[in-house]
Amino acid sequence: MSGRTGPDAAPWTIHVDSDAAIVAARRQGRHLAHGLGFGAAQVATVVTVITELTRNILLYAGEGDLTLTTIGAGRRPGLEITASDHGPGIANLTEALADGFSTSGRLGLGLPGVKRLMDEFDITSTPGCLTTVTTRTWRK
Amino acid sequence: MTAATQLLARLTGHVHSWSAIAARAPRVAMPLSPKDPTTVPTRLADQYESLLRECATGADEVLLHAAYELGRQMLSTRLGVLDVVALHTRLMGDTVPDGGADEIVPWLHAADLILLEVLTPFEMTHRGFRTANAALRASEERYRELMENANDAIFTVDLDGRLTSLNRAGERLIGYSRRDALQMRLDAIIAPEHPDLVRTLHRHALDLPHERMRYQVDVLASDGRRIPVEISARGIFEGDALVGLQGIARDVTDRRNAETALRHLNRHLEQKAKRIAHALHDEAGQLLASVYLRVAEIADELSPPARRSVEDLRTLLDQVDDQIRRLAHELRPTILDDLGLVPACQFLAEGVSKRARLTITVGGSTGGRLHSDVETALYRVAQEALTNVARHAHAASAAVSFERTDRVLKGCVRDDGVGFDVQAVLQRTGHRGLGLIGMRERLVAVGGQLHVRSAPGEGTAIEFDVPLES
Repeated sequence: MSGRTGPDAAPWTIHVDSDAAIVAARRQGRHLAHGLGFGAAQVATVVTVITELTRNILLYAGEGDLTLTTIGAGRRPGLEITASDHGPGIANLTEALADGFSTSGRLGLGLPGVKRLMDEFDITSTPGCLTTVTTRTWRK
Repeated sequence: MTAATQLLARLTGHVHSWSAIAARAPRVAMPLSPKDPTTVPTRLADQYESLLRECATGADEVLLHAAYELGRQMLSTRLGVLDVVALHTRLMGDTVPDGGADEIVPWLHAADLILLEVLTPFEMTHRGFRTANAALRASEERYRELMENANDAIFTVDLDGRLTSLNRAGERLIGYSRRDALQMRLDAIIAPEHPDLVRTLHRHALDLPHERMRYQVDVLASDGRRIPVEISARGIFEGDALVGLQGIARDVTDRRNAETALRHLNRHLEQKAKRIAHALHDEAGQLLASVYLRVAEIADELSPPARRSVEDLRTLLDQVDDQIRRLAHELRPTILDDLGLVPACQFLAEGVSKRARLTITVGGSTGGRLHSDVETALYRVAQEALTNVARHAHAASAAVSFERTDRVLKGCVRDDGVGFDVQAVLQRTGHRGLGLIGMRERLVAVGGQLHVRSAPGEGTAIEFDVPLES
């Protein structure tokens, strides 16, 4: 396939401080995912995760960074999506990641949704300090 | 034109015939959702419409992002996938661009992308539901296994009293297969002395929604046996509405037998005590009376100084007489049989008070006479408790009280003494531990229970209660 992004491409980072940045991140994510040979459903997944993470940054921290890295050189290719910000942090990680379908009536979007869509999910957060969400998905 | 004809055209590859279809087809909406399409808030519908109009020039990332955000909003206003698809279908008819296939086909593709993007947040939620449902199923499975393997019978009934579930232990208990049992009403397997059990349970479930209710009833097994069970039941609520009852039934045959045996043993002991008390009172009293007479005769024959020593002897004999009467009384107080629990306890308290030099008050009321087994048991418990106070508590005062409620008689013996470590004493089987166990057994024999509250330096309260037969 022509124009496929090689697994060794350098990380792509964008400073997220506006809707325009979200759109740019989505576009880049779509491009990278296509390039890795992801199917339509997985491309949609990647774009969704990018949207949820960047809108979280805007909503809770006002600004932050999103980095897209193609990974898995020589093996099954994948995409790593990292979001970090200096917002108020997440005081209760367990609560933030809890799916509240039956009890709180939440819709399972946001971080729980991201966690579900991706193969790997990692979050570090200290209230008032850096919050970093790192997620990975491998080509299906 | 409808989305369905558009889709059909695309699937069959007859894209070239599009302009013809577009020219002929009227612009009508095809309702897909059972809901009125107007249930979509106008603001959201307008936004969707403008997205479809804008994508005539292609769906760029800005538009797709807007579609995603719109989908999120639709989801959070509780719209369903069918609502979104119905809206899409309706608006497609309204927004199809004028022109030929070369304009309509790219627009259709872009509109598809818009719809997919709007539906993506729904997909995320659906996956969540799938995960949550899988977890729920696993937990229900574990729960079912626990219930199936429980030793107690577990059942549910609906508001009409019909059995709606029953575990294996329940089948064993009543001797009906689950299939047969689930055709039956709870009334049919409960002894006729409790005709209103289901209704009573309902009332209690409504009065105290989160508490378990306990009932002792007899179950009628399929082979005609009566099996005494203790039922612990609770209401099943959906929201605030009571929809049924859930219960656990435990076969208490063994416990019931042990209680009966204990009650017989206690009765037997009381009769023995009564005989000894009579012997002591009547026979020893008679003997003492003749000793009195003999001493009086001897005194008459003596000189005045010697007579005075014999007078001292008579005072001692008075004391022996008094002691024998009291002992006989405590062994089996006739006052308990004649006047009841509170007067008997008052008499007992006077005796202990004198011997141990502490103030004892007796208060409250039993609200009339009780079954003699119950009165005896409560008297013996109070007696043992007061003996303990006199022996171990170093108390200045103690109080015995009784209180009767609707179905229960409660009693309490409290002192202001040194207290003790309840756990430690119950683990030892010294006299004191045995005393507590003895009290408990007296009560268990009449269906009652005992609570000991004490801590070093904080006095002691022996609380007990006995259910009363209505």
